[in-house]
Amino acid sequence: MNDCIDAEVRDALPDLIHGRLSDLDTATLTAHVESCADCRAEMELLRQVRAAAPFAPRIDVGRIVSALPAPMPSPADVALSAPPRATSRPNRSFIWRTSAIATLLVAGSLTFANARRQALPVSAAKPTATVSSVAPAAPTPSAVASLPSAPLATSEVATAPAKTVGNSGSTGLSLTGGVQDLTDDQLQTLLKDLDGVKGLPSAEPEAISVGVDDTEGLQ
Amino acid sequence: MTLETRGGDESDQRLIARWRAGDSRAASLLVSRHADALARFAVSSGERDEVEELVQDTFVRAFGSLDAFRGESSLRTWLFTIERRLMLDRRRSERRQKAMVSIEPSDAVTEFDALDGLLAEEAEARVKKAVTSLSPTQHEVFTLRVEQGFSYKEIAEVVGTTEGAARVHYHNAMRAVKEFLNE
Ligand SMILES: [Zn+2]
Repeated sequence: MNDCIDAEVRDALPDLIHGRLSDLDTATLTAHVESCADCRAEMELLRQVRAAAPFAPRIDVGRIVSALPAPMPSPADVALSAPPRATSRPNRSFIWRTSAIATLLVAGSLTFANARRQALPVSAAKPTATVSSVAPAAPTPSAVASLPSAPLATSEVATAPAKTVGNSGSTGLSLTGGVQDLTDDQLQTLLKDLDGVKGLPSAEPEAISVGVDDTEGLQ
Repeated sequence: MTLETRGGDESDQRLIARWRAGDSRAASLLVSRHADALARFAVSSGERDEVEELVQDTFVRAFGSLDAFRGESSLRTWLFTIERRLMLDRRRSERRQKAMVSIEPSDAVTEFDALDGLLAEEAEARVKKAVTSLSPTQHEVFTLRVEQGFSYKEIAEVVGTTEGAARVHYHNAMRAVKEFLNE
């Protein structure tokens, strides 16, 4: 059995068998295979390999579904699963802004407290506090114990608004008090400032790939 | 050649969102969509016992850590990555427990020798032997490409290598299979 001289065609033969090519590519490749003895032989071999695959047991879907952990809905998921007309963009924005205000208050209080003590450098506890307020749907590390996952780079993002607003000086708002200390006007000003902050995380999911460093084959 | 994206009537991403919003039927659709392929991959990789448990563990792990899945790779690729890791863990603990040698391809060939008589097609038995005689890495890449229809990019993600390396492994495997059959 010889190899077809067209390497690209040979590469695509498994895709042809699995129906993963576009209509155009399928037609082009099928025409080639019909006129090429080497490709016909290789296609036959690929079909035999598939046919010779060991028998796999039937899987009980219901049993697996009942063993799944309970979902932890996040606002983004509720929005994505809702009908298209029921847009929740203002709500999502409100949630981010509320979270950001909470972040500001926590960060501001910590900064103020640190400044008062004038002893400790900025501790690791600060970003931790801001992460929990910005990322309500925290992942469950135990569930991915053996899976290396990318670190959540939210601490830097979360602290950014505090720095920006704190340095703007345009509002003159104190960051050491609680929400209840702010008047409606002050709250509006703060929200407006937050709208201009670019450091807020997007509500869109970011790509995290599961890295696997095992290059050894199975078996 | 451009590959068509996989997917059924409703995308995996949307089903995941529905499940997280409390729709358990979405979970059933996701599991039934991917369970058989995971079982085939497990068996092709040499798993003989408790394949359903392995598939179940894969889904439990996946659904328990969906926060780590952001949709850059397909859910299918991600599930295969998790299942593969679970199989490697299984084998490591088996080796530790029994302090036995790992399953070598030659062992598996012997296993198939006994099955040869039962196979209706002599050609199919020979093909099976040819595939089983591949090196572990070649076997894994070849299986994912031919039996599962994965692209080189998807194989690279599952196995933890590069697209180029996956392509080389596939073509080396194909050459080895042909040589075996030509003998
Ligand atoms: Zn050809």
